[in-house]
Amino acid sequence: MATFFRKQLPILLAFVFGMTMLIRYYVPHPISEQIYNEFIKWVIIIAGFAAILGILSLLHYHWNKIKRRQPGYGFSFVTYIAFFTMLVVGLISGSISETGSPLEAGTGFHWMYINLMVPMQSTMFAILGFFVASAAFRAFRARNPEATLLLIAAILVMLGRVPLGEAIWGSFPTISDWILNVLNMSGQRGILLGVGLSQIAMALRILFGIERTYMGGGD
Amino acid sequence: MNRKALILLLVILGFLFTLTPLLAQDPDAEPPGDEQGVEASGSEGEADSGNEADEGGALDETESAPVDEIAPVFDPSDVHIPENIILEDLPMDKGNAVALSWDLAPFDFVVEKEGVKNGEILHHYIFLINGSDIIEYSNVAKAVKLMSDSPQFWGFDDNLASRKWLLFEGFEVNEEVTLQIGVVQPELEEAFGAARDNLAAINKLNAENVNKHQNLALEKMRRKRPTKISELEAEIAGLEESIASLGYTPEEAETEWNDIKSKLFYFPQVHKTVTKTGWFNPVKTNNLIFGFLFGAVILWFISRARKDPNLFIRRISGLEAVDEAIGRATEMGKPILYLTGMTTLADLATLAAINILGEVAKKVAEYESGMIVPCRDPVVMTVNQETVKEAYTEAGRPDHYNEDSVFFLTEDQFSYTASVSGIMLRDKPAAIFFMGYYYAESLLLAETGSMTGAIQIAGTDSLAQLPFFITACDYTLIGEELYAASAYLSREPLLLGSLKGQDVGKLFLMAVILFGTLIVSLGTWFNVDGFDFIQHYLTAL
Repeated sequence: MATFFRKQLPILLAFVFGMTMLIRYYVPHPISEQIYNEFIKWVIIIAGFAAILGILSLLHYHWNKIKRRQPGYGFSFVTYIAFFTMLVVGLISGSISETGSPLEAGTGFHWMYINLMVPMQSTMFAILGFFVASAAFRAFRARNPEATLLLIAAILVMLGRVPLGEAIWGSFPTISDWILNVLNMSGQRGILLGVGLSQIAMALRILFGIERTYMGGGD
Repeated sequence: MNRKALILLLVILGFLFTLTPLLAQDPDAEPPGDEQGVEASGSEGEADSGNEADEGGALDETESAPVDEIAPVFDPSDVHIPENIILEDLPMDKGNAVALSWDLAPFDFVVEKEGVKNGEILHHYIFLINGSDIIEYSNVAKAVKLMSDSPQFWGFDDNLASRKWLLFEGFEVNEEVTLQIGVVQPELEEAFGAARDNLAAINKLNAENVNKHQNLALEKMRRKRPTKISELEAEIAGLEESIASLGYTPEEAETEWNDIKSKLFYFPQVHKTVTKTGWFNPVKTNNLIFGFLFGAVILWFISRARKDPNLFIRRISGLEAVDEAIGRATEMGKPILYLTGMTTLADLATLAAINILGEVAKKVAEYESGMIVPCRDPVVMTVNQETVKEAYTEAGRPDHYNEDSVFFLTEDQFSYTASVSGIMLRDKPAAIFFMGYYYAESLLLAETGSMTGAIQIAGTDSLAQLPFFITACDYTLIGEELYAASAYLSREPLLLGSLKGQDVGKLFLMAVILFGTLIVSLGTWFNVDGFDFIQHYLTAL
């Protein structure tokens, strides 16, 4: 019985729900949409419960780091303080806001989100600019014929994308577009076709219970 | 000729072939500005090429005859009523829409401008739906398409290029829909516009007023924010003042609108249809047939793999390096860091990443090395925990499994990135795996990992992030290699069989692409219309 719940039942559920979603793709009837919407609601409910598991996991992980005085355990204190501060302020903000949402403008939670979270997110995103430069430096070193070709293509595309390039020679944008829309696009489409076929094959493997690693191991 | 030379020759030929349009451009040719001017007015109906001379003349006349100078006098016989009008249920839909189609006419090109063309007055068309709702043609003219532009509904037929169509939505299934075409008489244009705008204005203010009253009632019930209550009361007072300043009541606006509607001219013909739905969308037949055939081929190869498990699979260097990476981590006494991407379990790339995680975790358990798996999604975290635990058990080392090795960080994209970057810099893992789907954070993670000196293996089907991984990682699994990885690592014959099936699918698609390219090229070069039929069906595939 334990094997049934651990192995057969998940495969059966994957097959039934997978086939339902596959069939509904071909059915235009409103019932098809109703089924889809219903399943989406189930997913949201499951995700809601899973969020609790996630929070417990986070707190457990950092608690262990503090308890064992592992390297960098001070950051775990920061995590705890930040988590509980946002939780408390969020609960209070939600209870006094007009709509019941803590993200309503004028609440403490909203203030913290706009003045703490958003600048931190923007900072992380801004670092990308520097990393692109360092990665480009590494990628565009003309070490062999292929890398030289890449370097030339990159220069042409860059010149075609900036007003300065067009000012130097009016055909740079045309060449740049040609590289992107013909050479680059054909490569991308080749990859996409391979990915599409692989996804169909994988979906079939999962539907028929051939691929079971996602259930937490093999047979 | 060896294979490399042959490939080089093919690449050069392909290069020259794709370069042809660029070389064919005449540098002395006139810029297409003037021609575009003529075509732009007819862009909605490119198929009507026979009237080009008339069109040019018409434009000249249009420019020399300002709208104001012609006194609009209404005569129903002057009005262009579209020909061959058909109201029908929109096929292949969920039964809530109908389509109105008609033969392409010259006025279709400029109707959104409402004025004069070819010396004829264009009137303000309206559609009376189910005897009450009016839809104005001028508002939707830009959305009007040729039927040939929407093969998902109408299929492929050359005649569709000369028919326009409009979509009307919001009906129930099996509802009878009636439609009458009408015209706003020039003498009523002003009154019609005023009545419509008056009704819209008062309805908008009323809706806002109702909303504010509801908020006020809620706020009074909570009794927490007196300032908010007074703010809302002031807003309501302002709204009521605005309503009063309009000088009419909603009932009066409604009466005015109904009155003007009854005075408009309607052509007597009433078009009728019933909305329908179905249990199968025939437009997707090609897709279904291909799916069945491809599925059958894969299942056949899987059954063949049961009999002959020694299937050849090409070497994937990124996966060959997995053993090397884990071995290095063991030697250095450092853990390996494994990421399963930024998407949820609904994404197949995440499932592929989890499949590889199982195989990698098995090897980590065998080598008795350490493992860190930070997750972005709690559901993915739960599955990852089970996968790693099971892998340790299968490797015969269940006691080495550490519960803290798979954990949740955050769902926020850049917070997750910052946290994982911190782990990389503090724990200095010897090997880092980036599997699954990634967004803008890919380079942040891969560059940080690169700075720590770890062996990095990435695998993604995200086209936009592939260049970043290729640049910053030692090995990258490109697209389909990510999905083949679990079969490759496990050497499970059944999984390898499906890879063979995929190759057959790829061969088929390559043949179709080659055939399609030839057909389109031949059709264009020799101007043969007969190829259009094949072209359309290849597009549908």
